[in-house]
Amino acid sequence: MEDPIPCQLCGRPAQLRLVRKNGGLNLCMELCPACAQRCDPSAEDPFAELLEQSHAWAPFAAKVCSCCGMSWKEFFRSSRIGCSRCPEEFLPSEQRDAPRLPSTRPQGDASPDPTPAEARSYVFNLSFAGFASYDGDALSLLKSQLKRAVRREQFETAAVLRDRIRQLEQEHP
Amino acid sequence: MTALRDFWLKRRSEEGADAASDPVVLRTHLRLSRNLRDLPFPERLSPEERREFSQRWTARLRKLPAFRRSLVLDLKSLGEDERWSLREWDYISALEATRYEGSYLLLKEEGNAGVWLGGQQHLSWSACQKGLCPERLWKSVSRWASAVPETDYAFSPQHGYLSPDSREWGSGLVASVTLHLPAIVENALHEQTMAELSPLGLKSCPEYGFVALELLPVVRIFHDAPSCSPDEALRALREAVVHIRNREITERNRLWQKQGLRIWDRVNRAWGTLFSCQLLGAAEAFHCLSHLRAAAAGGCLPKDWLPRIDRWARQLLGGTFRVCLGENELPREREEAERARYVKSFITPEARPTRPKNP
Repeated sequence: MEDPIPCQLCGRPAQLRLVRKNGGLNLCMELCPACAQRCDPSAEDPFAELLEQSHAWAPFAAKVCSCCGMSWKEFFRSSRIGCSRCPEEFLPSEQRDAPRLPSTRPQGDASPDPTPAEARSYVFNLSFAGFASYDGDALSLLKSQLKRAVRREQFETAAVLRDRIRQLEQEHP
Repeated sequence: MTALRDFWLKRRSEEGADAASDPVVLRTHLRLSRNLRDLPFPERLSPEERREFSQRWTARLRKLPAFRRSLVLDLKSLGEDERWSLREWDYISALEATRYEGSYLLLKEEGNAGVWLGGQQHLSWSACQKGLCPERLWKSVSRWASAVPETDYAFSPQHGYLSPDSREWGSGLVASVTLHLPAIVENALHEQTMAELSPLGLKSCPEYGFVALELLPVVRIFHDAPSCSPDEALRALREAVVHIRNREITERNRLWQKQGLRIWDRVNRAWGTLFSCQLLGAAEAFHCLSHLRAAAAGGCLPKDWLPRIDRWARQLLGGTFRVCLGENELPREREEAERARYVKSFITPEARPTRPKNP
């Protein structure tokens, strides 16, 4: 059986995959629901807030482009490049498009894994948190949540979910 | 006024005899962005470095046969109206132009193409032409961009041509077509028509930022998906234009049949307003010209009025015509004389609209 993809912040099995799509510079994050909950919806860029907490990016944090002088943080926050060398400077070749980061689960962390229901609710909440985009898995989670709400005759919840799905599909067809 | 005003006045190629005026399609624009490898993008350069870059590249580009006798403009030296006139022809972004101090614009002698140096991109090649001709423009622009000797553009095999914003990586091409859609706007079909374009990767925006759509029903549709190949983008744009054009013609015919008297009255009033020089400003002038243009296409005015109206609108955009609209600081008597002379050179009593039997 294939090993589960680890959460990029804590190393527990990830259940969400967030993708910030920005033209050719897509960045993705695998997260467990507990870490996803740390996302601050009021932050200017919740995705960047999360990603900067990842220890896997620490080696890049001090980098400055030798050609244009852009810092890694500036590059990461703005999703812009300062010259044609920036992508090579800031992203290793295997990670230039939607990089996957190694596990960084702190040693001795014994907190319990969240239930699938919790995971789904995080996807739902995160969809309001200003993320630029989601991959198909997150959308399918929302859809399955909608089906369940309809089956249980929770029509108010279903209506909110339906509107959210429509919005996401329109934003990212 | 400046060299730019003289330039707009002399500009003739866009209305060349070979390009017939179309009742719906006004013109096609094409912009091609290119950046240089291993050189910081303009937003990372200081104004002095940008100026140095612009001067160096102006000298290089003026060696190309197409740009040998081009007009060189330092954007900082231009007034706001002049910048807007350049923006309307898609040579620069009016708001961004002030941000990039030290950037230059190189305008081709005929006025139908230009290169913005040191702006949002290192080199932003633009071309516009009357009618629907995206393929021809693409051929010209790509030829110029590849004709600069010893130029290494920032290119990645995975992402295409690179630019500061990663959403623009790819072909670097933005193609747009400006359409005159009075009937679609009148029948409130504008939003629905534009929504139909989104599956083709097309967007729309009102052409003239300072004039409301109701006052000037001119819309620009553009293909803004740089990850597409140029061929795909141009094909999608052409398909969309043909679709909208057919709809506009159908709606115009319907309007004439249902509300012919009202439209006829409107055309007459527009003509009268222009003829008597009672204009209040540029927006009103555009409004009148829009009615006359639709009337000319519908047979109320001689066919040669279409290019005449287009030329007039272009000069209005170029800022020259504003002198004649009371938006200058000339002494009043001189202003009135100037206005009357200028307006009457276009609106002649012989060319009074006639109501067609079968528009």
